[in-house]
Amino acid sequence: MLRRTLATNAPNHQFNVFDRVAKLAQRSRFPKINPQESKKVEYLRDEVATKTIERLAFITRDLTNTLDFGSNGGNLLKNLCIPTVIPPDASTEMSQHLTQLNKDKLTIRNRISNYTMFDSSQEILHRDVHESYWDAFAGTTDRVVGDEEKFNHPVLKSDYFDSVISNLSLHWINDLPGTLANINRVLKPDGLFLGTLFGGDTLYELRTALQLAELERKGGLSPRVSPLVELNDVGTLLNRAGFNMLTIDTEEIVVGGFPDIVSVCNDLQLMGEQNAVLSRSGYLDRDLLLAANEIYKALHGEKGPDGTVTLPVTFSVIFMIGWKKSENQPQPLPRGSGQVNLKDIL
Amino acid sequence: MKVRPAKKFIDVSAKCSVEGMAYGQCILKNYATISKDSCQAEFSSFKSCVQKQMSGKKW
Repeated sequence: MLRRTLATNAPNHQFNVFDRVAKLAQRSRFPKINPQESKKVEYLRDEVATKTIERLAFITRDLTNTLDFGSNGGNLLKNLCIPTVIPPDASTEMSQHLTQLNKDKLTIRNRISNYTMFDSSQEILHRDVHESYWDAFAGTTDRVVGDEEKFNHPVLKSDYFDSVISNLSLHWINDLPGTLANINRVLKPDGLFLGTLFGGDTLYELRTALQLAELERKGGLSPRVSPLVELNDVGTLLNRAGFNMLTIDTEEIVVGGFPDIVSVCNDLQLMGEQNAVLSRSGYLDRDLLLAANEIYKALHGEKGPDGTVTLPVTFSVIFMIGWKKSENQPQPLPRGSGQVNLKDIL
Repeated sequence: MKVRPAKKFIDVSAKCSVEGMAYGQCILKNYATISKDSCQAEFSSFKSCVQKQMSGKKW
């Protein structure tokens, strides 16, 4: 009898969208061959790191063992170590804000004793290792190379970390529910998870320009920009992964001033954020490039005072805060235990 | 960093901004009902202008 060897289940039941092998190669390339250029596009990660610090400042919790999951070059710790320069022409309000931010950086830095950076790319992780700004951090720093999705590195011990922070890395994970559940597992009970993800409107200008160009020139579509998480889904995702007391919000970061679509794509490539969807078409021909560039300008271009049209790029960043479930957490009171009738107040 | 071919190409295309803009405006006008070759005429003249700028190089 024939054995049905070809009909066996694949060991991996997961539905994959992203090519993780290609992504790793893309992310590692520029830090390796041209670290100077790849440092120039840190503006986005540094901005998000600063916004993360602003949020961390409101949390007075113990951060002794902190895991930076998908850390890239360690932008969060870098921004904790480098004080923001207050421009001389800043308004009083602005300079007060920045002084507070610098105070917060110091406080947060001192609350961390062990900082573990975890990333799949050896090249990114170690690119800035010789910089002097790390000296401002008194605790110990570990740089660990491991796969974010497999989550099997020995450093990821259960119930070990006081906080896990993950900035702009989870959007390349195929199994997001599984990875969030794993993050939950390595946290101590009542531990903090603070993560950022690119949300639905990210790169919408580029997406629409390429879609229209492809429709009009070729009569079809191919995935040029990753599918992204919608804000509404994040709550369910975090709940499912075992997080409590969620805080979710979104911020739009618009980077303007790109002269053309090639410069936009060039920056994305330098960041290691180019297309890595499994079913991607690896090629954008000249017709499409010409068409998409003009459509981008016509639909989204911004006219400067001297009449030149520049292209903006929107990054919609979802900030999520969740706490691992614990007995000692504040719980909602049981149903029907209210003493005040809301009717009397409203 | 050396200038990449795609960047050179798009810089050349900027010399045909009039034709390019006409194509962009055509898409902008029709984007809700776009179909293949909706703006064929505008694109052809844009493309032939770019080809002329690239000293007759065809693709």
